[in-house]
Amino acid sequence: MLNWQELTQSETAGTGIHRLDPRVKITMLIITGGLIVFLDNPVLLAILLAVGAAGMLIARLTLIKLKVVCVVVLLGLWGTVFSQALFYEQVPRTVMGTLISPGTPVLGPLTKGVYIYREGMLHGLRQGLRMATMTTLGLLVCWTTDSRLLLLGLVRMRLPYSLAFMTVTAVRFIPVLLRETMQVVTSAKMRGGSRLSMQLLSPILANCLRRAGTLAVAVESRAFRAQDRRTYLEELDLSLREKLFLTGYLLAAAAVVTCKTSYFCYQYGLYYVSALRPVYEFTRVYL
Amino acid sequence: MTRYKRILLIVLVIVAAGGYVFFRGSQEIAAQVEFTGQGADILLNLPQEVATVTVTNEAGRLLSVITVGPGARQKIPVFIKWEPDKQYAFELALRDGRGVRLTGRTPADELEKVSFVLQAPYGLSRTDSTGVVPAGSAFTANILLTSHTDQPVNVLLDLVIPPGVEVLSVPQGMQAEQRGGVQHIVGRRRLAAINEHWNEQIVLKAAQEGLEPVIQAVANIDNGREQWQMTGHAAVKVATVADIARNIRVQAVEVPVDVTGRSDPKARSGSLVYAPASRLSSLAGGKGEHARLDDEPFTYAGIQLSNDGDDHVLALVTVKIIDPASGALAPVFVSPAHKNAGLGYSYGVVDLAPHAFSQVILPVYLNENSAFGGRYKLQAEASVFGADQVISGADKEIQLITRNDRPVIITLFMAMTALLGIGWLIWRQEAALARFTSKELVIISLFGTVTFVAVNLPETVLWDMARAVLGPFSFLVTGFFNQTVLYALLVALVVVLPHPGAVTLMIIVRFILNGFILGHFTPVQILTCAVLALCLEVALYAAGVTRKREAGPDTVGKVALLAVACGLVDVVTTYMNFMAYMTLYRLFYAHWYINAVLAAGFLYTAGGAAIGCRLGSTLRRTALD
Repeated sequence: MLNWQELTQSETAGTGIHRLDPRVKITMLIITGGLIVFLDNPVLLAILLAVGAAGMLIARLTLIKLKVVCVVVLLGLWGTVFSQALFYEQVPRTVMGTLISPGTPVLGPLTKGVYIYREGMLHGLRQGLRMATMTTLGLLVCWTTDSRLLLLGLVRMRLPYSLAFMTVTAVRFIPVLLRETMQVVTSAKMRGGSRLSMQLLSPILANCLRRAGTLAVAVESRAFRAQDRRTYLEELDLSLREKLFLTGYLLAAAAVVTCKTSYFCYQYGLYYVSALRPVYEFTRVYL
Repeated sequence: MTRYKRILLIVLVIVAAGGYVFFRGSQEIAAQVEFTGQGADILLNLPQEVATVTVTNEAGRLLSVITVGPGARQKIPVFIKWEPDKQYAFELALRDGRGVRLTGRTPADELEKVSFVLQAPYGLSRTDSTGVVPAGSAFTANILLTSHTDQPVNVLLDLVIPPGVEVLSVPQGMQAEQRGGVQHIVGRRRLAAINEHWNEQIVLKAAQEGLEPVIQAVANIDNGREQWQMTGHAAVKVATVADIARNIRVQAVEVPVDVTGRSDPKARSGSLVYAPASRLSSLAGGKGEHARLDDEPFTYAGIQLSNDGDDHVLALVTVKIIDPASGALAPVFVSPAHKNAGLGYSYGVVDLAPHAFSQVILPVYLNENSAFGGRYKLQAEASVFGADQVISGADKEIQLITRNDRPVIITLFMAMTALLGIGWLIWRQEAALARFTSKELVIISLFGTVTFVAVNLPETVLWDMARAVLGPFSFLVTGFFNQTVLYALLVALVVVLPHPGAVTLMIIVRFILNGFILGHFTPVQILTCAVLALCLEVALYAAGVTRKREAGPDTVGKVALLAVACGLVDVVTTYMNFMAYMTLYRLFYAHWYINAVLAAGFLYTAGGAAIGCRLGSTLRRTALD
């Protein structure tokens, strides 16, 4: 049985990945998010996905979490494969089957026929690697970092403190809200009502709003936003190795982005420099 | 730097950029004049769009003004009557506003009264060369007589067919005769006017390889005052197809090239970029939506052939672009029915000079209505003219890139919105949030939590499950959570807290929660959140919810207005989301599918917004307590 709380909480195993500064993880996630948009080589995308998977193994995540990752990634891949098998718009494309024939009443003329294309499935698989990579890395980061530390990392990266406070409040409220929901559902069931409906939102939210008033008084009595500058109990320090790693990764990503951008401009006839021909060729073949 | 200097600098930069773009396009035009029996031919170094040609003589007297039709031309014939050893001036007015002036001196002597050309096989570029024809195949002897005098002339033409060559068809008005064991084709014609032609093609057949027959033509001409004779010879070598094929090779295929065969150093070989005309340019008088590009060649293919033999060979070169999956001609590259004799592919006849390379330039047409990007295969084949057998060929992979700017532009807009939003958040920091009380911040974060629990958590499970089962049609199921519940909560929040920025804060909190707990930190989500926040803030302000800061919509009309506004916001953001996926993840979506998702999304969202109005009204009192 899936347990949401277990799945959404970070683990405290003391591996190197756990000990990494949260800012390193967040920055890596942002850089990778940008990088995968520019990469087209399926081998490189598969390598990035493999790095994420290897990170999960190194971080010694529980089996249930590994299973969840596999299911989420496979379902995501399947969704992309399915959609691209139907909507693939490139040549060559080989029809493997017909989903909606052009002669089908109403839907046929509307869609002009929906077919399953073999090349579309392969395209969907290649492109699905991008989403799979981000899902894997995102889960790796959130499962190996305490949410408090992640937030501290974001604050150190200039996220406004009030927003950080709101996020912490939201995180802390999740179990309260789940408990509240269960109570409302139980009372609704006892009155013979339906299990889940939009009407349940009203009592749940009303209760939460009452708590909000109490919480606001509590935080203000503890000098919330009393001063512009605030101090923190925990401080984050980037080690030299982390700095070097981040710099290297950032430079590599910047190089890829520059190459791909120049190639894109060349390919679409926007900007061309003959001296960059080796770069264009390298980008076309390897990136 | 003062403000004035800044403006001046910007103006200078714009002027410099404009000047560069303007003058970069004006390549130097070189032209020359060749006088012909009909007048003159103006030959340009590059194809140009010429509007008019004005011709004047030495005295400056205007002789003719010729209006040239649309389309780029490299050779412009001018029909004038010229006098020997005189200078004539030609002024070309180009459609881009430029002009070219050139002069030419006519030959000292008048042209012959009658010119006479014999070509066999027809198509050879030189009449004094020997052409090879395959044994047993048909070839054509072409005879062209042109009168260059006002006086009528009578021509008696006698074509001598040597042994070993069979006449397959005799043109109408001519007759075959046998004289001394040699076959003659004889005909008479009167050329009454200047520039009148007599052109005949006689189909012959070379029976046996190894022969080298010489076809002779004699034209006896009489203009009433004098008689003279003109003769022509055409030597033909008969060989087997195998012998000819041994020397002919398709050496290279280059695509794209221009009409002169030069390849653009900027373009990657085999890569074609097609940018459809935007609807905006269509409205501004450009091509209509159903217009096809295929009347003009999209580009050209240059096929380089080599002939290692000792004789000229007439080769038929074809270029077919096929779909690699089906092997059939790719519809996008099928030439229009009124071009290439309706065959659907381009062909050309080229005279392959001995021990030389020759290039044939063939047009490549593109049908806009079926312009699917992807990989195609270009098949270039050469056969000896007159024989069906392909003697050499080469394949080249063609990649057609259909440039669709809309998704890129929309994604860039989303990225700019996200960057500006993040920048503003970092720059303004607490000042932006100071407008909210602590209680309001807590309320927003609570709504963020509820949204996360009621939308994101079920979505994580349902979305993937529904996508796995229903594929792209999963939006019919997930729309309830993605749109109805989400917008119900968003609208409820602004009804409770009708402040500009409240929705944005809730979206940010939800995004961070989603990232922290479910690991959903993807570029598309950042862009979608940024655009959703912007559009919702604008819509809610425009609908009066956050502008008037009063109790939520209390009439059916106001609720309907808010529902429609939210529905439109969902349509816009969902559409942008599709564009972002198409650009960043290179995914494809059919138009009908996007439209279906948008229509369903509008209904789900409008319903959610209406529910949110009611929900917000019931919560408002509790919140204000």
